[in-house]
Amino acid sequence: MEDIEIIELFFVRDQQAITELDAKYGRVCHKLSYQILNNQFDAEECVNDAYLGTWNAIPPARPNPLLTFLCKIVRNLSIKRYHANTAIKRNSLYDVALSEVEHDVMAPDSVEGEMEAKALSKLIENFLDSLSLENRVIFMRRYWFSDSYEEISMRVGLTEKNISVRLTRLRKQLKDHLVQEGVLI
Amino acid sequence: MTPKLFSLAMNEISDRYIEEALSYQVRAKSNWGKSLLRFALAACLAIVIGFGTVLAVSAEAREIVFGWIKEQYETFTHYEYYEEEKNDNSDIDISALFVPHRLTEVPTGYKEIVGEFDEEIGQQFTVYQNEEGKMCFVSAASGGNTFVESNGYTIQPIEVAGVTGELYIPDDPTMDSTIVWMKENMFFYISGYFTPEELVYYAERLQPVSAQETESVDKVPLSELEGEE
Repeated sequence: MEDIEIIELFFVRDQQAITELDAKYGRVCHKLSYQILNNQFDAEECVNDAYLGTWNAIPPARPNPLLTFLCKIVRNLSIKRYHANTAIKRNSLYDVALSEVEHDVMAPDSVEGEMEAKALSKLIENFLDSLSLENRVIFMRRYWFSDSYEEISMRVGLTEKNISVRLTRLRKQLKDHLVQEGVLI
Repeated sequence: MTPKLFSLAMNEISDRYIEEALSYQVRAKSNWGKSLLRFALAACLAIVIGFGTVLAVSAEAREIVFGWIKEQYETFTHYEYYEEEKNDNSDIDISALFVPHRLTEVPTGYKEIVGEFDEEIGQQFTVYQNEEGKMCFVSAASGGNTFVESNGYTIQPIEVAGVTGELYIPDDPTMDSTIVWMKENMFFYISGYFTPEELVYYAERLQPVSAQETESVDKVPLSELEGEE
């Protein structure tokens, strides 16, 4: 079913909308959540909560594209749960991706203080704008979608080793960018 | 900056980056193979295509089953080196089985501009370019992966270098063609704006050479070709 038809079902408050949404994007959503949480049950709950969030948001929202809208809800809910479950050993792909950033980009000395996520996201967007399309996709697939190297390599047609090298370079470039912007010292 | 702050900042990233990453499925230009991906949805057909003659070369190798697996997806073909260790104690360096290759005759009007060799997995990659900017990609590998776009192409078996390879003929004649074949445990790939006859002609001229010979040409890193810093 086309996105526009699914959205129409939401508008007429037909619960078939959830069924269609799940049939079309359920796998993508579940994978995204699972790679952050490494727990089937938690992922399932986050995806269901995301469907509920979508139900509440449409109408009045008429998201286009629908998948991006849905992925953002799923990721936000999954990240919230990720941080809420701090006592649980997760060992998810998201953990691994985050540890890469922590190792290569975080610095003991920083001036961001109470810097807000919104402000940092603008700096990250500036950094992304400076990259080639391919590198931007590699960065996003790793640090937004928490894709494995193998998954990224399949998507962009490079070897896993090449992906690993590129990501190392990208993290260094991000660090340089944040230093240049005065966020890291 | 904490990982949590980074994580929350990524949540605030503009939709356009997410959409871009969601929709990106094909590389902007040819490389190891112009891959497309719909991996999660694609049906998988795995065929072990070849087992190497390397079995006769190394005693250690006899403990390992060699071959290349071909997986046909919805829009691309994935060729992957396959290795199954039968003896847990065996420790063979697959890249050591790599034999450097080079075109003994470069296509008319083309000049070698990139030459890379990944020692870890034994993949050699060479790019030639003519004055019009058209590129010809040549690779020889004893390991790793290669992806070949099959969407919009007709795949035909073809005799090349004494074995049966595969020819990717584009439905759109303005697109480039590709020939792949496996011989002596290595995988070969040539892609360019050539007729099938020309591709076979150049494939026959991809010959083993010494490592020194492969270093005799001034080349630029692949990253520069891709416009990276």
